[in-house]
Amino acid sequence: MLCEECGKNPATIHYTQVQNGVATQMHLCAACMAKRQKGSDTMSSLISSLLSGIAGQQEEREQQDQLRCPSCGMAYKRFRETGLLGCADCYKAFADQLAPILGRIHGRRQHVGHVPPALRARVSAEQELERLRREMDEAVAREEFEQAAKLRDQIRALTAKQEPAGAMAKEGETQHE
Amino acid sequence: MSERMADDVVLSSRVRLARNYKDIPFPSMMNDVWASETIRRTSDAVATLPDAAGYSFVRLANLSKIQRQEMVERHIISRDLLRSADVAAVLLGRENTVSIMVNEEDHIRLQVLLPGAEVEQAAQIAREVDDALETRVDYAFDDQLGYLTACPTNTGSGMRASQMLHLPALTMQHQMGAVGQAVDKLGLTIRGLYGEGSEAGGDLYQISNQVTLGRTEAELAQAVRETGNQLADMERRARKMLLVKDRAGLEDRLMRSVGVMLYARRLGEKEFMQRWSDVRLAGSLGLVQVDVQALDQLLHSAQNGSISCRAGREMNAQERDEVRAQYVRTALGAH
Repeated sequence: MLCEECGKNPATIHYTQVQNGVATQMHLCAACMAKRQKGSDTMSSLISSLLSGIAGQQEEREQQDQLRCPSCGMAYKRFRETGLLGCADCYKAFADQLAPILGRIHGRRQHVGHVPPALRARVSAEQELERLRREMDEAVAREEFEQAAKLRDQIRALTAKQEPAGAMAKEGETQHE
Repeated sequence: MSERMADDVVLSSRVRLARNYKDIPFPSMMNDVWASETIRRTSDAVATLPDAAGYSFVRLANLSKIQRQEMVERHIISRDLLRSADVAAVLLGRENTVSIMVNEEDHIRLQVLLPGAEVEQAAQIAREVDDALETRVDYAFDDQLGYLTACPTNTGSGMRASQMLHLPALTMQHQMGAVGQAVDKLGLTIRGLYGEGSEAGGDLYQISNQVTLGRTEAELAQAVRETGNQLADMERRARKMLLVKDRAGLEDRLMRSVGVMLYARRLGEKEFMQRWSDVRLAGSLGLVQVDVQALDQLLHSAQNGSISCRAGREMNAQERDEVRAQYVRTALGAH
């Protein structure tokens, strides 16, 4: 997905903006995100140098501290001090920082427990897809190509059924890597 | 045998689920308007439960300090809820076994507390209530990370399952360090009676799951139950060992505590906890006839907050210790 503001760069920041009780989905690239924030120049240079990964560790940490969740406005620094996130969108805003932390705490990265009733159909379909993909890979490895082709067709049929929701989920996934 | 004997070690089981509304900042970042909104949504959702009539709604702001303290002692609310007392509320249902705390660290902390080794039953009830509420509200949920919580340590299932264990013999034999390491290896944690950072008064410990992401609720509850059973068996073996090593010495120590609990005229809270542990062990070993349920009841009802709450006023320490001593005597059937 491309940035909604410039339409050039890929959108890497996804968040929900709540204004007067109305929620709007926003999809922006890092540069446009930075422009939206106060002191846009410093922010964009901070973010770009962060992304390029050339900053030293201390510097990087200071820059991380400056990161803000666009939804609730909380700075990453506050999370580092309190251990508490400000809202659901902080998980997206600080996805890169949180991924290793979540890994250290839980050792696993994929939720397998209870799913909200409204999402159950979609999430269980995704789990089914995952199973089929694994089986297809195994079939290929065993050189059972006829079986693999059957599985591929099943995957295609399932994905076609799921198209809109599936595409959305893929977008979200990249956020947590 | 484990089943029948369970209550000699496992006092209670608890499951709590952390949930947050999708479109409202988490409690640490929200203002009073949002805080009222989470309370309104939660009480509205609870009002649609089939057993809604059995729920009572309490705003912490409307309670006195001692009333709040009393609820913490009964484990109906958490100590952390007191920190946000101005904007916090709790909904109590199913004869106080279900408590839905609003505006603690997360918007909602749904807790189920049952006596004995019933962690899976507690998880089942929590799931029922959670499911029923969730048909009415939208929680913050991510396909990969599960339920999103204020602290990343709760992300995923948002579930903390725990059991409260009475481990006097393991404590006396200085084995709690080794127990702690073993529990840690199984992905669980062990701590003192009132949660994180508290000392283990009364030789009471709480085991709970450490991780919440990437495990199903059933796996978490099972791990806690199995670990609880193992520790209970270790504790029973340790009790037998103590009897073999020095039966008279152990009996002497425990029966002195029985004497204090039955006849003392002033009992401080700390001493009460120590004596309580001895009396419970004496009861389990059959040295005295004691109503274990009444004794477990005392665990919260004889603490400072509960005593002041019944008296309806703040008391000085000496007065409180006298009331406690009398209360304990009466509860244990002495004069």
